[in-house]
Amino acid sequence: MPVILQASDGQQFTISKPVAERSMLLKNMLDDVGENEQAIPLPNVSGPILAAVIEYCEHHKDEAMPAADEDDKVFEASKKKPDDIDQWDADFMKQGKGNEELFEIILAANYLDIKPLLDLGCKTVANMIKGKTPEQIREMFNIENDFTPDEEEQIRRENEWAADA
Amino acid sequence: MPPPPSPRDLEWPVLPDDVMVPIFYYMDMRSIMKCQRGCVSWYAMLVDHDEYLWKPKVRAICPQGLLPRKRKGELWKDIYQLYFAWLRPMTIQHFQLTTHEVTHLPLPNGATVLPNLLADAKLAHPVDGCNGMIHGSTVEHPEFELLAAFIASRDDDGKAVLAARHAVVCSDRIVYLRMGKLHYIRFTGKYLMQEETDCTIFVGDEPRIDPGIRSNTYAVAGSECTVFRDMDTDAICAIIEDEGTEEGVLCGNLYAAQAYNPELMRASLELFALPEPVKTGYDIDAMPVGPCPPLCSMLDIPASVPRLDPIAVVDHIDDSLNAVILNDHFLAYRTWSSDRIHPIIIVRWKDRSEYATLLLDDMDENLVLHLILSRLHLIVLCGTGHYVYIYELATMKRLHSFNLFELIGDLGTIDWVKLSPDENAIIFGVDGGCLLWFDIRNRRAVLYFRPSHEENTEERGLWIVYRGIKINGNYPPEQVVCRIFDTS
Repeated sequence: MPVILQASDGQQFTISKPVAERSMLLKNMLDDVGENEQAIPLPNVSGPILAAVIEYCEHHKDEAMPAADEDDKVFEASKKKPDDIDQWDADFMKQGKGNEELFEIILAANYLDIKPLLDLGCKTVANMIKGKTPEQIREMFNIENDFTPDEEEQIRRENEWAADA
Repeated sequence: MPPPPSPRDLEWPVLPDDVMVPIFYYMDMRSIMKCQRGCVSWYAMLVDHDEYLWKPKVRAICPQGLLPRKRKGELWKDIYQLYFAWLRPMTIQHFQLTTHEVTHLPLPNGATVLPNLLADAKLAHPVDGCNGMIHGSTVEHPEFELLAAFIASRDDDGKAVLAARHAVVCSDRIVYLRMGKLHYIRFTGKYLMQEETDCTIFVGDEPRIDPGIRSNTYAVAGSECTVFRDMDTDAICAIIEDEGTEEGVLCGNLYAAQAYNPELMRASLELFALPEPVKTGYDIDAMPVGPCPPLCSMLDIPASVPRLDPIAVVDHIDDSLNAVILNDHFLAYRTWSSDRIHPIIIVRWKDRSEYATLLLDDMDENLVLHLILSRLHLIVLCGTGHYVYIYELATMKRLHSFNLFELIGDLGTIDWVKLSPDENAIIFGVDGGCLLWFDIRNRRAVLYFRPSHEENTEERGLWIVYRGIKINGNYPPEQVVCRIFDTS
């Protein structure tokens, strides 16, 4: 039985159940509601972002889902390095995606509870930050420097020991 | 806390905290330090999320994911910063040597105001030099933390030495061996009190104090026995009634002692598990007030104090000193070998399963002199102590390999090596009675020395290393003073 998803802009996507179940949110919904022909509304995800998320889930549909709570698994996950990214995943995150789209995918992965995609997005962002100045980081995340001069001086002193960092 | 920054463009997606935390998780320390300067809410997030952000980051860099114990007041973030500090290159450009003469504290008895406070007379308390009592004052003083202490004396050849196994620092005192007897000086955070003699322990000839790492217990060992004492209560927690060991080290509740077996003509390593600290026992505070009683024999120690037997014995370890070390989870020791390569074995001490073996066959000088385990690293000193190899425990990858003398000049043979309590510095006891403070976090190398003049050739004293409290995330530089006992 296929699953129909409806994005915030009304676009509908029909996908197979294994693809939908990459999302823990959708998996729990389907477990609770059972088979249903009605579209599942996803008001927090736009059509183009949902298309990208589905593309990712299609590609990974046959992989085992990571267990979340077992200590060993958490440790195994924690050992992963930011540059430990599969080639297909790296290409997927690069393909014509600007910061805005990348952040939207991360937010969608967070909302839909797709841990591997959230992980991939976080690693990609962490790698993009490497070598950037604080001002460039602010521009990338669209945040404002709201420190007082005294606070800035305090942080400078805190990090003084690693000044060559 | 000011409100989080408002985005310049409301259409731009803003990543919530629960998404920013995993992004920070994947960042290296350099990127995180830059992000700290991003905005107030990011800064707060990086400070506040110690359990959710920094603890997993520390776990990822720990061998087998085994988290180390934190020091009192220490954050996971501090431990991660420690890892980063040790990761940076250690080159001659970064470690310029400076020298400092050790300040002499002249008062043989009574309380002594620390030199920092003496510099500002208005801050100093009036002190009664006869009985060490401090009169009240409303002036707020900076507090100081004891880092280490060493006994300065002369060896049989008349050479100045700093003995590392003759003093330990506890939370509020320095316990040390002087002329074969145990003494202590209390440290109030501002003052050194008068010296007191502890006559309650007799352990035999050639006594020593073994260090306790992340333990509230220290070991006093001699030719007849080893006695474990609780730092807070002075109670004797346990005894090993055995012939003398040559060195030992205590970490948590595990004690590893090296002893020479004359039958095997080899050294062996015995492991002992201390019981949980006992509530009652042999408490010196309960001793009658008055002149010191004669030295106690072991028979005076109540039978209720546990006598320890080894839980494991490791044979064929190398018989030289300073080649056994423990941390929270691992034991490292150098094995005996008939060739010139002496493997270093690292085992997980909980089940004695082997974790790693190091074969240092590419050493400039083959002989391993000292081993030190920090929570995240193994430090190996070779040759005359100046070839230093630093390994990351999680990967057993060699991070650094340098000749200390090329870095800071030829100082002489390294007698011993220790770590500062926060593991941000390596402390070297240098031939001739000098102390080298090798500050990895702040990239300083400081050689502390007492000038050798005619008048102090027989001088014996207590070197005390302390520093002020952390300000703005940074500690002020350490201070070293020497309290002279005698100049006979």
